[in-house]
Amino acid sequence: MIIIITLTTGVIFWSITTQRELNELDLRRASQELVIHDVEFDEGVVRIYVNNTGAEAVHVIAVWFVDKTTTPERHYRVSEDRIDNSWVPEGAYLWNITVHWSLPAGSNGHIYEIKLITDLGRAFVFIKQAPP
Amino acid sequence: MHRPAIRSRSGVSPMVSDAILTGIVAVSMAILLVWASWYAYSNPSKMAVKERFFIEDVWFNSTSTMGIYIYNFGKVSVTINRVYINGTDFTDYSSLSSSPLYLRPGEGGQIYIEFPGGFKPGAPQRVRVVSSRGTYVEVVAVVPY
Repeated sequence: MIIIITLTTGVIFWSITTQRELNELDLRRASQELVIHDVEFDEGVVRIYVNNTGAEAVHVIAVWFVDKTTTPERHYRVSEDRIDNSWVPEGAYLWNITVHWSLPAGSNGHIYEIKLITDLGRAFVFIKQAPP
Repeated sequence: MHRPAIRSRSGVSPMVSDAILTGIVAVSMAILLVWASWYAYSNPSKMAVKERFFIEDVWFNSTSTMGIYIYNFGKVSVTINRVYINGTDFTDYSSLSSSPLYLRPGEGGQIYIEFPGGFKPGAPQRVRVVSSRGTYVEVVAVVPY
């Protein structure tokens, strides 16, 4: 009887705790909302201007640059250590995320897909042509 | 008529036998209790529901080489050990065949698939990566021309 009560209590407690944690995580993930306003390619840096229209701050952990002009497409991943202002506060307007990355040689004028990846596994995409 | 011989050995007293039986039951209960608690709280199979990962990007270096980048945003470590494309197991053609991809929480990693037959240009590929606990994530990627 003691074993059954312990087992049942343990399973119920574990289920409630886990369910609460996961619901919280999934809700936070679903509430993340970044709107990319514009992207500027500069010498050695790319500035991404975003609005955070979600319910809480968003942490950007990586940025992908996909050269859609080349065949096959070229994909570049820039991790957080080369991103400034990666925490976008709640309600931020035209927040400047600065990525230390240079356009590859010969890719001026190419069409780029810029993809922001957040710490909760969301991706926000913007298309921009690199300057000629 | 034979009468059974009277044995000289004396038996265990009821008190001692009661004490031994009580001890055996108490130890057995304690072992079962520890096992039940362990099962309820830390059974590895229960970790599967806590797994959270997603595919950041899929790319093709040519029509025969595919790359997949995976990020673990959950609270438990994940081991990616199988990859399927359009429902077919491509694990043997991937970097997973030599070493499964182990990702701690907050870590990312990539898988490469080298398919000798090549992927058909322009065709959508349904890519599914599966963890050792059975959780999976799926995306559709189109092979460039």
